[in-house]
Amino acid sequence: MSTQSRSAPLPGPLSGLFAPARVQATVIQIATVAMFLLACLTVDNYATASNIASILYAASTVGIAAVGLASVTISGNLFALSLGSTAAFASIIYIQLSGLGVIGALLGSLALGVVFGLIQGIVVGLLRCNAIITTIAASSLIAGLATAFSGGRTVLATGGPSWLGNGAILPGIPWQAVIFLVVVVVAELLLQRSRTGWELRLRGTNPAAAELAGLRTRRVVVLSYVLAGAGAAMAGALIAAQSGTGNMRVGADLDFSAIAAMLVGGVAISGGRGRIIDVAAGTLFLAVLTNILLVNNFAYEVQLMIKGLAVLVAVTAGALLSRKKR
Amino acid sequence: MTTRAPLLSARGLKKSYGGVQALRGMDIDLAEGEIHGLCGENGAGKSTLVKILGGFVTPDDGELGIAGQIVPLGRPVDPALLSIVHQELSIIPHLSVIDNVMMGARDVRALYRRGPFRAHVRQTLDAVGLQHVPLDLLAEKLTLAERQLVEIARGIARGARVLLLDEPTATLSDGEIEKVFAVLRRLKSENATTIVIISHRLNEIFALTDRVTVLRSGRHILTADTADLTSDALVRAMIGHEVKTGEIAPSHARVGVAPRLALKDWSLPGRFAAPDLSVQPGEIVALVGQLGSGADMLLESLAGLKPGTRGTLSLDGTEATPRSIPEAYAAGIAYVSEDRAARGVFLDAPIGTNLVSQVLGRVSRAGRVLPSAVTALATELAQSFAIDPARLPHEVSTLSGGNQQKVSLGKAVALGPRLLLLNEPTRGVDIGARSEIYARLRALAERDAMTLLFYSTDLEEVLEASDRVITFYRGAMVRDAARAEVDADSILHDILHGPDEVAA
Repeated sequence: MSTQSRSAPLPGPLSGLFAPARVQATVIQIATVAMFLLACLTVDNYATASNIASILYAASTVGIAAVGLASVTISGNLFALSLGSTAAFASIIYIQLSGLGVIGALLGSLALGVVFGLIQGIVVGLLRCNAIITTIAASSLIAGLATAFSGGRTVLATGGPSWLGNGAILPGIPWQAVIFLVVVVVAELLLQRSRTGWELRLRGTNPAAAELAGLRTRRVVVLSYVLAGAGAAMAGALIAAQSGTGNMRVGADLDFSAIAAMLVGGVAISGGRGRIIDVAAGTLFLAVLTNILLVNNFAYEVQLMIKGLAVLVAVTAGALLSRKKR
Repeated sequence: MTTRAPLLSARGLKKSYGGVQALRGMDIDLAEGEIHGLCGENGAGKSTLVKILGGFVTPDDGELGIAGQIVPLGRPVDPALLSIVHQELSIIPHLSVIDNVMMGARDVRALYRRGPFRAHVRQTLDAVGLQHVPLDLLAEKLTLAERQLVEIARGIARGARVLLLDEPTATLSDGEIEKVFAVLRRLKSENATTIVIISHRLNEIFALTDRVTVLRSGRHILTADTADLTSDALVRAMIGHEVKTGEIAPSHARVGVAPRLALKDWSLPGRFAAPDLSVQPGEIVALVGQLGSGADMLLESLAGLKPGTRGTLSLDGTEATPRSIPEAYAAGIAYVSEDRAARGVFLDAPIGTNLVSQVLGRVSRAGRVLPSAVTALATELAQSFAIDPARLPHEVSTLSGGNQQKVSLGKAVALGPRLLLLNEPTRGVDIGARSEIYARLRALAERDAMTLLFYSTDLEEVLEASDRVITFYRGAMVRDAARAEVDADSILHDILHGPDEVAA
């Protein structure tokens, strides 16, 4: 189903969807739609504009961070664990710069994420330090800088909420969801259609072979961390725009939520396998699931357990599928 | 010997890795107190068989009995029944000799005390001819042969009735080999230990074993008393046909033009010092030497893979010394790795993607990969290497070893190199695919005047594929001769003993 496999006819129209490499992504996409339709039919007032908007607000912030993170995972460096602190710092920057207008504040936040991503990318990609340790250390460093910058206080936006915070293009479809869609489409094209994307995916499939093939591996690793930093910062800015506040609690769950969305969608932890649309599907799946629990008045702890369980099931399925392939 | 009930009996063992069938229904019986040789070419399935017997690899099918018990497959076998001395030494250099022997022993309790075992380990070390080695000596102080003997001692200390040795002599000198063999003979006669030995050296098989089993392409070919076999019969069983002698393919080296490759003062201190070397366009040169001879490192250094290499390399008269793999590719030097699965191909990526992976710039415009260009180039490469273009969307892991190697070659040839470097060009490739690969390599030399340099430990390959053979011994070139001037014996002599004046 990927770009390169379209180059020759597949044996049947649907066989690609259920090939071992794609079956998890397909199942999640179907399950998301089925779950949503079931909830619409069985839960009163489920399919209202305000409930759908709340699903999309949750999905957009986590999803944008997860898309950035996926570029790190697909390029073969497991996870970045600095997303939460980057998002928190970005939320503070966004509020501080809100005087510049929505676009100016957004660009300022993004610049912060790009710089921190670039630093981590250089440490991992050029200096070849351990990816996990580097991002944990970066997380602590960024959190410390953000706290020092804000004096540990919550910063509050002046003036009313902006179009980015609570505006909608259509009833039930907030602007934030449009941004999420654009991010997904651009990232999907980057990874599947561009030369850089091919190199990034091949690097994740087999780093040693990519190096020996003369691919620009350092460059794509650095790029993946820049994307992860930018995604986390964008998520932080969107949360700040929604709530009108910026503080260190923004993005507290973001690292795990993004990892969960990505893995549930069918991106392989080992790298090379998975697509950005899978990340979007995983994000929507978890957002719909959490929302159903929420409207049925399940407590936060239940939501946490369900999310944890979903990730365990996803990684177990991934492990079983890869064993079947061997 | 063959009439007694066997000590170990395996039936119908089958194993495939991805699309590669390593064993296709293997039977073997081992008698008590015999030395049994396992022979076969690279990729015949010997190592897989040993790993299955040891329980390190789960076969897809088959059964195994040792000393009358059915042994569950895929779980480590009781070391008192069977122990393996692996091809890669599993001696830990920073531990003492006694710790290395006791490693993984069953009688060691949660708290490891050496005291109770000292006498037993001492006795075992004496039995393998290591009387002179103190128990508390660090293993790093031992020679390679002594380490090999410590491994054997580990197996004996556990009381193994069957000892499997996977190429125990690959890294040893002749004198050391004799020492190891003497120990094995004594174990057989005094302890009635059954010993299985894998070796590529036929003279060792004839000197040591009672019986021989030959494998080819994962199948059992024959089992016979060693005394009833001739060297020719054994080789014929291993390769499946008569050894071709005297059939030398014509060289396509272009003469009267500037050399394609010229090396000046090319050396890697401590590894190799190659004398000034010059190779013509269209010439196919084999670099031959044992592990540690530097021949393989010389090949890698030509691809910019050995930092610290000194000297200058010229291509067609222009200096183009590569300092890294990208520099080598840019200069027109391509390299094919010996480790296909780990570095040679992207096993989990489609065949088409693999074939174009080193020339992504050529199938892209403005940073965008053009699917039509990918398909066109991949199809062309697949056809030239006799890979079915219909399989391009499938992952490389679904191919047989031979076809995987063709993908590995194809993606290097895609670069259109002037100099193609091949490390073990057909390791783990079956005979049919081998001749296809050799024919393709010859065509590249003939039609495109490509220069090919390859390193191989497979003498048959060296003799079949090369126009010129350069032998190495301990970092120095021994002989540089046309293919017609050498044969298997002369090459073996060169790589085992070096130049005559060095031979002891």
